[in-house]
This record gives sequence, C-alpha cells and structure tokens, in this order.
Amino acid sequence: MRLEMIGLNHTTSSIDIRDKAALGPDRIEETVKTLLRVHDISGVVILSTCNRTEIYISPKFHTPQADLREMFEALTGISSIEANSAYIYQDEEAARHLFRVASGLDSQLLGEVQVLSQVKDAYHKALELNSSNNILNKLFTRALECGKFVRSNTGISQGAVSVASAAVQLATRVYGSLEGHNVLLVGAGETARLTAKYLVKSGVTSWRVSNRTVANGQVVADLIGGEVVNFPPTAEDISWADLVITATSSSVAVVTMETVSSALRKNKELKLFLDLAMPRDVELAVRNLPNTYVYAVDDFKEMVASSLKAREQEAVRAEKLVMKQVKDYVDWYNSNRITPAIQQLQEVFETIRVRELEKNIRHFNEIDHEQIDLLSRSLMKKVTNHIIANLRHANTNGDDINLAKALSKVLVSEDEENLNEVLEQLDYELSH
Amino acid sequence: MDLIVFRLLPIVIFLVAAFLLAWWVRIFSHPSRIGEERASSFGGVVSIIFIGWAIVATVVQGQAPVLNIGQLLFFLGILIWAAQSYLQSKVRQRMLVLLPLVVIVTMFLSGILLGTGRPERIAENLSGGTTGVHMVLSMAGVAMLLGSGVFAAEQLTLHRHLKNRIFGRWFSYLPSLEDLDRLRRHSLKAGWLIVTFSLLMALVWMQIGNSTSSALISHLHPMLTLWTILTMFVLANKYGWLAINRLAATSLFLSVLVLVLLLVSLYEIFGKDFA
Repeated sequence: MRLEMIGLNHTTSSIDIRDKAALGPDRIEETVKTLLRVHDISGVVILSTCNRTEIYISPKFHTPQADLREMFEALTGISSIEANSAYIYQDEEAARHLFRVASGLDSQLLGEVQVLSQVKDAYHKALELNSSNNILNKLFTRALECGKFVRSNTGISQGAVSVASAAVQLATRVYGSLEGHNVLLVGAGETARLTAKYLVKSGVTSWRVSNRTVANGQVVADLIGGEVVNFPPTAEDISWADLVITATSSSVAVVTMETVSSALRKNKELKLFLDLAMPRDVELAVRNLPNTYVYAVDDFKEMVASSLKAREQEAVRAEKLVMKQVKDYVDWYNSNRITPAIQQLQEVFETIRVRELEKNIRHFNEIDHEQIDLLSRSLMKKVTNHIIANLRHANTNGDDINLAKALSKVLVSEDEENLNEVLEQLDYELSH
Repeated sequence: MDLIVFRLLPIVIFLVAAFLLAWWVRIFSHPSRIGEERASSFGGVVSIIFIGWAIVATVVQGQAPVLNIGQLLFFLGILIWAAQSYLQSKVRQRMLVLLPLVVIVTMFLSGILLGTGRPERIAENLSGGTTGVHMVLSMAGVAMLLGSGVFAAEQLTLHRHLKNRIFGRWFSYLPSLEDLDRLRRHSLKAGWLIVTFSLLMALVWMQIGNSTSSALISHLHPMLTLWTILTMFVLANKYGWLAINRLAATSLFLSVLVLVLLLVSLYEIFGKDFA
C-alpha cells in the first residue's frame, strides 16, 4: 500500500508545540504545493485542528521515517527535538489512525462530534487544491463514512460531557423539547450566559432574567431576548417559569423554600431548578416539594462522569467497527493495486482499436461507420473486461501482480519507458 | 384454514413479538440509533400484521377473537401493541416499547398456552354483533388503560432516577417525564371514553332487550364501580388534585385493578374452560 502519515496530537505534544505546528488555512495551500513540488508524492491531505496536525501522504514509494520527520519539521517550523514526538504510521496503520480520528476515538474528549467535520473540511480543502489522489480520496470518504457509521451504531457520542450540556440534558429529560417553555435565569455571570446560550440553541425563546445588578441583567436579557425582573425572584416569577437556572455568587440561597411553595400553589406544573452556583442558590429543602426537581453542580459533574464512563464502554464496540471498516479499505486497495497494468491494457487495446478502425473503415459504407465504431468498442470492452476480471480474481499471494507484469510485458513492445514504469510500480506493490 | 388462522398464525405472531422484544433488549444493551429506527419501523409493520390477523379471525369465525380466554388474551395483546405503536411515534425516545413488549409477549404466550383455537360453537352470551362490538370496545378500553399503566410505570421509573440522581441507561433512553405524563393522560382519557361508550352501549342494549339476566347484572355491577373509580382518576388528572408522580402511581394502581377485574370477568365468562 502507498499510504503514510505523520502528525502530533494532544497525547504526544504540549499545547505550545501543537500551536507552533498548527497549519492554519492560510498555510495549508503553500504547504501542499511545497510537498507536491519538492517531494516524490502523488497525493496529500492536511488535517490541522486545535488538538492535532497530521499530514496524510500517498507517496510513489515509501519515505524513510527520518526523512518524514525532517519534512514535517521543515513544513511546520518545529524543532527536530519537537518533531521526535510526532507519530508515523504507514499503510493499514495510517488508515486505521484516520478512521479512529474520524470516529472520535482519538479525541481528547472521547466521541466528540466536531472532529468529523474537521476531517471533512481537510478533505474538501485537498480537493479544492487538487492535491488528493484516488488512494486518499477513498481513504477520506471511507473515514467520513466510518465516523458517521460508528456514531450511529454505538453510544460513543451520547450523553452530556460538560456542565452546561449536562444542565440542558437534564432539562430535556424532564421536558423533552424545550420549545415553548418559560425559563427564569437568576444571575448574569459567565456560567449563566453559557448555559443560556445552550438553551437558546435548544429552542428556548421565553426568558426572564433576575440579577442583583439590573444593568448586567439587562445586557443578558437583550442578548437572549428576555425581560428583566426583580432580584431575588418573586413567587410570581417562579410560578411563571418551567425551568429556573441559578448561577449567582450570592453567599445565601436566593430561591427559598417559602417562595417556591408559594409559586407551586399558583402553578402545579413540573418545575426544574438547575443550580449552577457554589454555594447553592436554591435551598436544599426545595428538593422535597412535589413536582419539583432540583440539581446542583455536583449532580452535573456526576452526570458528566457517568456519560464519559458510558462512552468508554462504547469505545470497545466502536474499535471493532473501525477495524472492519479498515479491513474493507485494505481489501479495496488490494483489489486496485493492479490499476496501472489495467490502465495500460485499456490504452493498448484502445490504440489497436482506433488504428484498425482507421485502416479499414473506408471498406464500409458511411452510413455504417457509427455502428462499426460501436461494435469495435463493445468488442474491445468485452475482451478487456474478461481479462481484468480474471486478473482481479487472482488477487492472492501477489498472483495478480505477477499476472499483471506478464501481461504488461506481452502487450507492450514499443513503449519501453512506460513498460518499465508499470513494472516498477508492480514490483513495489509486490514487495509491500 | 382453522389450523392456520387459530393455531399456526398465533404462534408466528408470538415468535415475531418475541423477536422484536429480543431486538429491543439488544438495542438497550448496545445502543444504536439506526437499530432503533429499524426496530420502530418493524414494530409498526408488525402491528398492522397483528391487526390483520384479528380481522381474518373475525371473518373466519363470524365473531371477534374473544370466544375463549386464549383468543381474548391474544386480541388484547394486539390492541395494546397497536396503541403503543401509534403512541411511540409521538415521542423521540423509543425505549418505552420494552415494558409493553414484555406484557404483550406474556399475553401472547398465555393465549397460546390456554388455546386460541376456534370453539366448536359460539356460546350464547358471546354471539351476536352487539356483543362483539361491546367486547371489542371493552378490550380496546382495557388496552388503553393498561397502556396508561405502562406509561405510569415508566414515568415513575424516570421520576425515581431523576430524584435519586441515577444517570444510567433508563435515564438516557426513556422519553421525557413530560412526554410520559402526556401519553399516560391521553391513554387514560381515551380508555375512559371507550369504556364509557362501551358501558352505555351495554346499558342501552339491556334496556332495549329488556334483559334481566342475573349474569349480566352481576357483570354490570363491578364494571360500574370500575367506571366510577376511573372517572374519579380522570378528574384528579384533569384538575391536578395530586402531585404528578402520585397521579402516575394511581394510574399504575388503576391498571392493576383493571387487570384484576378483567381476570375476574374472564373467569365468570369462561369459568367452565378452567374446570
């Protein structure tokens, strides 16, 4: 196989090295052009994210590891010592690595979804720069399919993995869709804003904001399209809300048992309190009231830990699916390694067909020329397809390559240079 | 024909339901979005086939499949599954099918063991179109009420997990608390409406037929008591007389009560079959 990759990620290098090695959008084009110009390669795709910089190469012939490191060092601008932390994979291992990356198995946050679109962007950039070849095209399209397949067939990307997303998950566990529900935001700090942002994304449109400093509360209210109400919130505000999010820096509880009891007398619907403050903003006794569910920071942390544990369990299944996808890719590669010989065969047959047609076409009426052309094409196609099918069928222990070599020698006598190139490539495939 | 419709097809239906249950158990232990979608679609198709069997059985024996206890349990299982298949399409999370499937598979198996065969002759108290309609309606009402109990059980499970901070699979895969509450109320209301209609129909029928049969009157009394309790539960849900988890608990209790009364009624109607 003619595939290799070199790269570094969060497990091998510090953030400083990763920052230095990052190949941003402005550097990718230049790097790709340099690679294609200077090095003997037929395709390259660069994947550069905040956690990894990886270069996938389809070389004409495999590069020694030292040369690869030197090349990586020159392209990224990191030192040779720093380049030593880079990992290098060849052939099947390189494919496996990319499939794992696309599936979120190599991510800092196991099962993260964002990496799939980053792999997709990297591939599209390569297509745009015309730097990918058929081996890399297949590798990346299969990797993207693998990423989607693994996420659909395992729970690798399920569950909340941050406090804010855990808060949203809890809300959806109680209310299902959050659209049409009223939310009271108590506090206007960073945590409150971040959670509000998540909830806005989940479809919440009806907001009230209660904050000690009205001006700060107004800023957040304007941001999410809500109205500012009194601080601390009144029973009327709590009665109005389905979901209450508290994230103040108050040293005493701002949502008391008395206020909530009074609110529940007015509205008996389910109420969810998400207390993101430390110390708590919601009195502990509120938990015992009917139709109320109260959660604090520790609960969210527990949820996150539980999700991560579940993802780790799912990772075992995901790895098995990745292995199968890699095997399919390798099988595809092996069935296509005689492609140069096949192309040569088709070219030779086409040359013969055109030559013979030109020589003999004058013996036929002009009205029949098109039919004769079609017949000759069909005839050649049938003959070549028959030979190709038998070649592919011999794809065991290098039999296909030996046959392809023999075929190349038999077919070509005048184009010596082309013959040598094809034979060289077939020999290389046989030795790898 | 009888052998195929009343012996072989029920076994096939039972095996299909058991396969579906095994499939969902597998999805529960090995989460898969695609698997869920496929199993849900399969469940929908299966429910149509089940109803098809009920129609064919009705045509062949000239009465709905309620002529013996086996047929009745089988028919009830089908009605529960049809209602659940429809309702599960209304929510995003689908894991709520597990519990009803357990109930349905048990009913199918019990039905087969007790015998789904066509009786040689239709008993007098089970013949006639009005009786058939009344029994089918009653079964549909019971199916909805049992369905409401299933939702209530799931609602209580999720409530318990939420209160005790158990963030496991049930927490992740059950529909939301509000969805379950909505489904439970809908089932309860629909069950009440159907049972009320069935009961009114029976009363009108008795009035028209001037029936003074002691068997019918003794059957009517517990049914009217059940209807009164049921009406109270419906009102309690409508006006929020209790906390939501308590309403769910009462729904579950009501389902158990319906099940007990159903068994008592079945014993009265088919008592001789047990003897």
